[in-house]
Amino acid sequence: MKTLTAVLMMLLLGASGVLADEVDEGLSSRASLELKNNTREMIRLGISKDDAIEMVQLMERSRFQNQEMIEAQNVVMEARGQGLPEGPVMSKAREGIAKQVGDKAVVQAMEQVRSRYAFAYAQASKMSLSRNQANRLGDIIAQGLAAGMTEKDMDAVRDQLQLRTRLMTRNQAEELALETCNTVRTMARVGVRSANAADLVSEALQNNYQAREMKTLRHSFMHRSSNENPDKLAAGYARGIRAGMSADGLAEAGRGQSAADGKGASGGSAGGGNGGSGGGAGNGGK
Amino acid sequence: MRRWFYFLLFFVLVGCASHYHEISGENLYLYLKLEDVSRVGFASSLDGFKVHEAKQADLKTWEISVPAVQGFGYFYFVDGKIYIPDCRMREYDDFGMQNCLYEPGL
Repeated sequence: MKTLTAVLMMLLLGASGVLADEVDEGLSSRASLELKNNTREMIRLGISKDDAIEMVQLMERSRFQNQEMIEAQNVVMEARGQGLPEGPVMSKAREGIAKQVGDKAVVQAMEQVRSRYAFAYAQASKMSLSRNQANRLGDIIAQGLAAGMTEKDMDAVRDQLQLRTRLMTRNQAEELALETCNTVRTMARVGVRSANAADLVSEALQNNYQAREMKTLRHSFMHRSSNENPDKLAAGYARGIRAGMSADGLAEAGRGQSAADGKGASGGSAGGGNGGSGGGAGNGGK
Repeated sequence: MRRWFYFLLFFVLVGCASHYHEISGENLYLYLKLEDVSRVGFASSLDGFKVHEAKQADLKTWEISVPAVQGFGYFYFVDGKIYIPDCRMREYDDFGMQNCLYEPGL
């Protein structure tokens, strides 16, 4: 028994010694003891050793104050502790360093990302999905918020989704939740105002759109929004759905609309007018 | 009169800038057309926002090639300054600016 304990102790001490060496070797001699210990703590919590050390190296090279480096690490560890993905938080640090916005702005932005993911994952967890799908949904919601969705509007969409998926199987609920939030995220990314994006998918949910229809709606919207003002188009789609149009009907109306804008299909006015290209012609392919 | 001149100049300059992409195989080629520029850098979430020098395809066209398999956020540095072109999909960057987004298939 004594031998076993001794062997275990040696293994433990050996492992911590290796860890300490790697952190010591990875960081500069100027790195404070607190910073080194915090780095070790990040690794102990399961954050990749390379990522943890690289993050400090980047911050040191960018002349971050010790306090800001510690705070940046704490934000990452807090995300990890809350069961949130630390990747987006660490990515924000790299982005801020590339943009040379200064250490305080980087830490503040990292905290904003953490807080966004905390909200998004909390929303997703209310949906009774499998762990994996809830995490996927959380990521999509967080990205939707980054694109301009407000928490209030996202909350309203989730509320509507919860109501709508009550009697669905888990698979059906997962598919609908993912397609709905994906649609919201896409709309926000092309410049649809938060309230309009939420209104559109809420109308679709109230009109019993399934996952497949939500996907059709998103695709036809993306197709049309390259030539029309996305915000007006979203409002037009919402009116069309309110008038009872199906996703296929909206897509059909879109095809007609392209030929004769403003004439609208039956029940339609799904055109949303001809408001020019709000999303810009930029990344639309050549 | 002078105000009109600057107004016109602004639109001429903005009109000169364009941004588009092409997909060839598994690669995405991003093109940025800008006049009177000596250096263009590109940074994206694909590799932790490392800055890559864009290749000058002709007098006013700058080219960047990245894998087209996954979505990412990106921005440019034009003569050392952050530059966000007119792109279809965007998100806020938490630093008071925006990033362009690429999403395969959209």
